[in-house]
Amino acid sequence: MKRRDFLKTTAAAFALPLIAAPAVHAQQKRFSGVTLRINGYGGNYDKALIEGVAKPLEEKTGLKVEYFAAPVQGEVVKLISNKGNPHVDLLMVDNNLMPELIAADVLDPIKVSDVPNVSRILPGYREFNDFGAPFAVSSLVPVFNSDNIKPALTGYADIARSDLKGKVAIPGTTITASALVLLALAEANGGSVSNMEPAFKFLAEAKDNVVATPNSTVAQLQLFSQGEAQAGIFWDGRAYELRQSGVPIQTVVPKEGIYAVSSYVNLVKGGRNREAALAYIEQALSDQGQLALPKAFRFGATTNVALGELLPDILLNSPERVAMKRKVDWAALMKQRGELAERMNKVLRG
Amino acid sequence: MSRWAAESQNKRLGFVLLIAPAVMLLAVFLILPMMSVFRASFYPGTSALGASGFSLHQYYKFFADSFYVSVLLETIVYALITSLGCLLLGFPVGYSLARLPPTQRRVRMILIIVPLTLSLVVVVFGWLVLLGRQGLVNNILMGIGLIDTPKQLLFNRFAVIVVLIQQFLPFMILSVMNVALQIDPVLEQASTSLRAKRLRTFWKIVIPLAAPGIISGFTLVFVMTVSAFVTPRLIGGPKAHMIGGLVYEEVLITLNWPFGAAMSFILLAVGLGTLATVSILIVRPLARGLHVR
Repeated sequence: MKRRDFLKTTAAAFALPLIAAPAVHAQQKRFSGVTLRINGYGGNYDKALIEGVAKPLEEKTGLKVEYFAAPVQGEVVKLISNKGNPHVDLLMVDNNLMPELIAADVLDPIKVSDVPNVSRILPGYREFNDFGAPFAVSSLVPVFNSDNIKPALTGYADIARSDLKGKVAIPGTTITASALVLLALAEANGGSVSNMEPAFKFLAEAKDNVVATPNSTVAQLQLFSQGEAQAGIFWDGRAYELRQSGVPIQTVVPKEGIYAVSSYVNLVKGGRNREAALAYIEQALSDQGQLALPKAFRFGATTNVALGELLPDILLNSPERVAMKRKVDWAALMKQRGELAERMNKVLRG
Repeated sequence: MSRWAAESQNKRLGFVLLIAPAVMLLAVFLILPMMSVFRASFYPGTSALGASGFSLHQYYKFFADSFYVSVLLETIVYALITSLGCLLLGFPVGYSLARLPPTQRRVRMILIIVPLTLSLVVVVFGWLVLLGRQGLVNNILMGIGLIDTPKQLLFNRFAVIVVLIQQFLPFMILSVMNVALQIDPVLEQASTSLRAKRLRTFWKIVIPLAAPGIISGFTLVFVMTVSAFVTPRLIGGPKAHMIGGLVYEEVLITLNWPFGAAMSFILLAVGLGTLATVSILIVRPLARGLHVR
């Protein structure tokens, strides 16, 4: 190589990074120094989201995400009472609380033009028009201990079977799931969200079967784990967790249809980091983000992501199963929540 | 002004200054919130936010519904049984601790206090494991041949009372022990030297002198049991309810503050009334040793 060529090559080699650096830097550090605050559900749930959403996002954009575990109802009250000056950038809630947030006008719509991955959400999953982005779905289904309960349960109404006396656990009145269970029982017995009477009639007949109404998912999990309860209505993902730990709790695809709860991530009105919040939602709906919770809990995904080897363990894993998901009028259901809880307590007490 | 009057005034001023911070703290963080909750109990609707008006609707709703009245009675019965259970189990322990040398007493007191440092939820989950079908109690019963198959020990009223007694027993022990420490053993020796039998000494000397401890322990346990809600929620089944749990539900879950407030004040009134009645009719006479001639 001639001396001149050597100098040219060396100069080019040094100059290229200097020319390209600002562009690369800008791309990598788009949200450098920005920290998003978002409420979490705590424990492994948040860890899964950190792995699938927060970490990759930070690597790509420099955006930091801070999850803080807190009771969701309290966060909703805080957001509504601090309208216009939100304490979070994004709010995660289940669909039962969405009507309250929308009515309070504390959410901004999420458009496909802002978050292209919204277009990947499966039909029927986005229940509140442009508000919120559902990122995970968990089904509340009949479950039973396959070692001790034969024949297998086939639907929600089977919890009244005579062989299940003193063996059934259903969610207690302080958790949302109880309202959904009552709706399932009402609809299975000819009722509807506007006529819940059949649920209570059914429950009165089945009350001797109900051994416990735990008021937390963990408490119900423990009952199945210890063998205190042999059947009941429980979350599909948690039943998977039990199976993994050696407890033979099987889930049933109920003949009445599947009652499920979707978790939404919401853009709050007046948030300080709108662009970063939109980037978070885009990542939550990306393939990487969508697989985080299915990998950890076998919860269902809400987009057309390929589930791969996770597919057999996930309840809502095909268009046919998704079509079985029952549409719930959450606003109407939650409006009567107090009354439902009171009736349920009375009926079960006898 | 005489010197005596001036000293007396200074003492009074000093007393007022000493208790002022505590009184202010209680006024701001207890009395005022309680008054606002009391006011909320007279709102007619289902929400306290922006509510106005005055109505006895919440109180009427409570007493007109047999469900709530039965849960209230059940709560009072739990509280009485738990207090009595703690007294029967805690008195001998508290009294014997008081008679130990200080070093030995300290070690045993640590053992009594340790459960209080644990989170209530952790303690209750521990009981869930102990009383479970595969738990220690069932295993022991099966091991000694009393039962063939595991029994359902959880989710009933008995389990709730057992766990409540375990939770509140230390308060009774400490109350009794503190008072028993003040009883001079010479009094018991004098009673014996006057040819009183052990039981008579116990009824006529020990119990009356330990009365303040018994009353304060009974009151503490009763008040804490009456407002318990974690234990009945986790240990009691769908049939075992306590008012505390229903108040929790109304205030934090269904957000019906007026009804939750009314339930709280009904519980407060009935609880204090029961306590006063029990104290006047049973505990005080017992403490005075009137039952043994």
